[in-house]
Amino acid sequence: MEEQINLGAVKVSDDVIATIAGVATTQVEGVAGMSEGIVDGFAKLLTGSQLTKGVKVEVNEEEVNLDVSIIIKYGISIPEIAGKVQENVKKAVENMTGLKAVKVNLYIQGVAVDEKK
Amino acid sequence: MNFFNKAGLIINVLILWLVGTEGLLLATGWSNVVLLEQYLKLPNANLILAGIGCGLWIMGLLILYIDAKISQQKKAIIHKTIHGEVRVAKKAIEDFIKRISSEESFIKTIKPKIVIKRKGVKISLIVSLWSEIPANEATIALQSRVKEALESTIGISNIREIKVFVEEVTHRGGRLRGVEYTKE
Repeated sequence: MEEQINLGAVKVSDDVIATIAGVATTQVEGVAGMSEGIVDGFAKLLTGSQLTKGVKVEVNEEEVNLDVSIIIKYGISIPEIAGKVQENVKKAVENMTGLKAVKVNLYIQGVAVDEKK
Repeated sequence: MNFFNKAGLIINVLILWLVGTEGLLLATGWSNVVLLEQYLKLPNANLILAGIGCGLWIMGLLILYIDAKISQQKKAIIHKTIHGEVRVAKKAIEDFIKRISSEESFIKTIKPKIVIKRKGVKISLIVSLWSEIPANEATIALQSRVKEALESTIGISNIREIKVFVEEVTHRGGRLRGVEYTKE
């Protein structure tokens, strides 16, 4: 991502966008943590795609699409938490980078299971 | 381009380049079949070829395995929202069922299996029960509990079937043989 300003270009790494998204996600009550996909390591080696612990970033000029993988806490309503995460991530990315977050796709990979009673 | 397309592309290109290069070398006379045979007769040539062959086999199997795993991971319940998609993985649903079942005192163990189809979701539960309540009552209670929880918490509205297979009931003095109950 690159912005032209009077004094020169400003570049924001995809990694930074992913980190912003990750932090915004974990701030939402009900998110137990981020989830890495099964081939994150291979994908990083071969494709160079920016996968920062559960966040995949795709930047198109002034817009960004994000795929966020999470584990949620037990007892949380998924439709409710999904909306909150998507809104929080969208707001954080747009405020901090100036990019328009077109899509925030959420992948709920698991439910954090507490210890058995 | 996703990981598998790229990995497959790289491997195919490498193999084609290898074969193509050898073809070009043979055609231009820089290499010939006799030369090739001589190379193959060199010490350790067979080992090198066997190594390359095994390596390619293993890479192919690995790619197939990872592709299958990723396909499994991709199976999910999908909701569309104004901000994008929300996918709930099969594993998340299975974890959730295990968790809600742990709150029922009559359930000893549970193994959920989810099948996601276009027409709806089919759930199979393999359970071991404690003998506190009759098995038929326990299974009906379990089916209702699972259905209600999945609809309200996960947001699944198209549950077609919750099949329960009781493989064991544990009580004093011995065990009962499995009994199957189905609710549609």
